[in-house]
Amino acid sequence: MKTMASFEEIQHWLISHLAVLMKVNPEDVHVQEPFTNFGLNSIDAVSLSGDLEDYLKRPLPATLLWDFPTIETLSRHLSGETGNAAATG
Amino acid sequence: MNKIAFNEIDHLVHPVNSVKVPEQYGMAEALERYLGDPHDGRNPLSFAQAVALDELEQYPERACALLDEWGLPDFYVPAACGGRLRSYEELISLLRVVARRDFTAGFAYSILSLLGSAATWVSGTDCQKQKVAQLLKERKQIILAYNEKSHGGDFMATGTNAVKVDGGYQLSGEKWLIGNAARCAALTVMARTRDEAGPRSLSLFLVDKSALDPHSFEHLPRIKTHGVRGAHVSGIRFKESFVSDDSLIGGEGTALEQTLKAFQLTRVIIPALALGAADTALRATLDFARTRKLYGARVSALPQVRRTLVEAFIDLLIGDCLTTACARAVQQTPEQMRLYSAVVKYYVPTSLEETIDRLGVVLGARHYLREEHWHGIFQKLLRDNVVLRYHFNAALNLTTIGVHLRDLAQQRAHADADTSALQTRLASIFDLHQPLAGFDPNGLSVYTRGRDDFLNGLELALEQLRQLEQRTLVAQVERVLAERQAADDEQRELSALLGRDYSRSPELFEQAERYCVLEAAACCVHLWLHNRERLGEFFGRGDWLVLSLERLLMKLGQERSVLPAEYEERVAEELERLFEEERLFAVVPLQLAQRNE
Repeated sequence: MKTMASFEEIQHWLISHLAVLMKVNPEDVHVQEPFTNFGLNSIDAVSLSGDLEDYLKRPLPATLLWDFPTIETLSRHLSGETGNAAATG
Repeated sequence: MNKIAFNEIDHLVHPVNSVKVPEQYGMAEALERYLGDPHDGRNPLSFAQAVALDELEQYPERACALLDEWGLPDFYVPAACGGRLRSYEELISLLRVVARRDFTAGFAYSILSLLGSAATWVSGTDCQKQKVAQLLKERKQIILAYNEKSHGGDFMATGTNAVKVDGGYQLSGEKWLIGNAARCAALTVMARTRDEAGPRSLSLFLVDKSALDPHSFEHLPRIKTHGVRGAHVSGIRFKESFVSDDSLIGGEGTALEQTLKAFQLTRVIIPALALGAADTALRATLDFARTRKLYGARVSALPQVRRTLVEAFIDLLIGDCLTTACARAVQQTPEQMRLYSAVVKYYVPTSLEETIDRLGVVLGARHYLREEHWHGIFQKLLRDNVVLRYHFNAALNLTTIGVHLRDLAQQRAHADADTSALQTRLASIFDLHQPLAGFDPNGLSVYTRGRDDFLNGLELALEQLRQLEQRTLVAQVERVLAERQAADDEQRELSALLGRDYSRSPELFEQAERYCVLEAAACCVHLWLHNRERLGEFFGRGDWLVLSLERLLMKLGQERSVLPAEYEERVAEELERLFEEERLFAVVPLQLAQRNE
C-alpha cells in the first residue's frame, strides 16, 4: 500500500523523480537542500504535489512544498513521522 | 504541404434563427443608453471629453460621477456579499462599454477597484467582505498595493514589513507605481511578516486609510505616464502605521496563495478593456475607410484594406470567444481558472494590440492626430492599451501557463476522460443561455493539474462537426488537433532535453504562447457549436468561424489556405451592418447608444 510508504521510500522516490525531471544525477540531489536549489521556485513547486498525489494515491494540497521546502522535511511529513509540524526556512 | 484549397462553401441549411440576446447582456445595453452618444462632446463619457482630459492629464471625474450614479461599483461586489455581481460575463460586458469610450475611466475607475477588492472576496472574513462592500457602496475606491520601486512585480522580494505588535501590526515601507494611491479610501497591502525568503513570509492586509494615524503615512508624488494619462499613478509610504489584527486577510503567510487565486478573477476581467479599445479602433478606422476615396473608390473597397478590416473584426470575435469562455468558466470550472486566467490575460490584450497597430496603418496619418478624426481617440487608445502589457506583466502569465504544460501533455497522453461529464461542462460554459452556478471562491486552486476542458473537448467538438457535415470546419479542427498533438510532443521532448533549465527557457515561453492560440481556437469552435441556432444568422452561418480558425492556424505557422472569397465578403457585410446599426463588434452584438443628430 502506497499510503503507508515509509520515510525512506518517499525520500528515495523524490530523489529519483527530481533527478529525471531536472535532468541531474541522483547523487547531486541533496535531501536537506531547499527545492528552490533544484530550479523549483514557489510557482513551479505546486506541480510536484500532483506527482506525489499519484505516487501516494491520496489528495495533497498544491502548496505542500511551501510548507515542507526540502526533500527530508517533506518525506518526514508525508510518512507521518513528524505529525503536522511545518518546517521553517 | 499545409496548403488546403476549399473549392466550395458548405451550404448547410441552418434553422432560421432570430437573435435571442442572452439576458446577461441587457445591463450593458442599458448602460450604453444611459451614457449616451459618445460622439456628443457634452457627454462625460464621450471621445471628445476622453481626449481633452488626457491632454490635461486629469482624472475623469465627471465620467466617474456618472458611473457612480448609475451604480457600476455595485457590480464589483459578489451577489453573496450583497452586491450585483452575478457573473463575470456581465461585468465584462459593462466594462467594454466604458472602455470603448474612455479607456482611462475603465482602468482607473473600475479595474483598480476590482484588483483592490479581489483578495477579500476570495479569502476575507465576513466582516472584511462587508467592509469592502460598504466602501464600494459609498462609491469609495480600494486599490492593490503590491508593487515596490526596487522589486517591481517580484512580490517575493517585498520589502514592506509588517511587525507584530500588541493588537495588530506596524506597517513600514513604500509602495510605488500604484494607481489611485492618493485617491483611494482603502488598500490591500502585501507586506513581509517573516524575515526569511520563502512563500510563507508574506501576508495581506486590508488597510482602511481613515483608521490610520494620519502622521504615519504619506502619499508619494504623482508619476507621469505615456498612456492612461488621466489616471492618478503615485505611491504611498508607511511609517510604523498601526493596523489592527482584524485587517489581516486570510492568516499570516498566506499572501502568495491568496494572490494566485485573486489574480484569477482580475485576469479574466482585464481583457474587457482591450476589447473595448479595439472596438473603437476598428469603428474609427472603418468610418474613415468608408468615407475616404482613393483612386476613385472608397478606401474600404480596396482589397488589402478590406482584408485588414475583416481580420480586425475576426480578431475581436476570437478575443471575445476566449474572454467569454474564461469568464463563464470562473463559475463553472473554477479549478481550471489558474490556467485559463493566464491564457486570456496574455492572449487577448497582446493580440488586440497588434490588431490596433494594423488598423493604424489603414487610418494613416490620422492615427496619431490628437484632434480631428473622432477627436483623436485613436492615438489615445493606442497608448492606453499598452498599459495592459506592461502594468500587468505579460511574461508572468506565460510562465504561469508554462508551469501547466507538462501535466496537460501527460494527461492527454493517457486520456480516459468521462466524455459525457465533459460534454455537460462544455455546454454549461459555452451555451450562453445556460444559467451559471454561483461564484464559489473555494473552488479556485493555485494549480490546474492536467485539466483543460476547452482543448480536451476538441475531439467531442470534431465529432459534432462531422455529424453536421461541416466539411471545412472538420478539416480545420483536425488541423488544430494536429497542432495540439505537436505541442504536447514538443513539450515532452523539450522538457526531457532541458531538464531544470526548461522552466526558465525561452522555448517554454514560445510554447505557452502557442498554447494560448490553441485555446482560442477551441473556444471559437465550442461557442459556435453551442449557440449557432440562437445568436442570429451571421453567427450561425459560421463564416466568421472559418476565418477565425484560419487566422489562428496561421498564427501557429501554417500557410494561408485558399478559401472562397464569399467568406470574407460575408464577414465584411456583417461588419458594415454592425457599424451602420451602431452595434458592438462582438459575438453578442449589443445595441450601442444611438448617434444624436
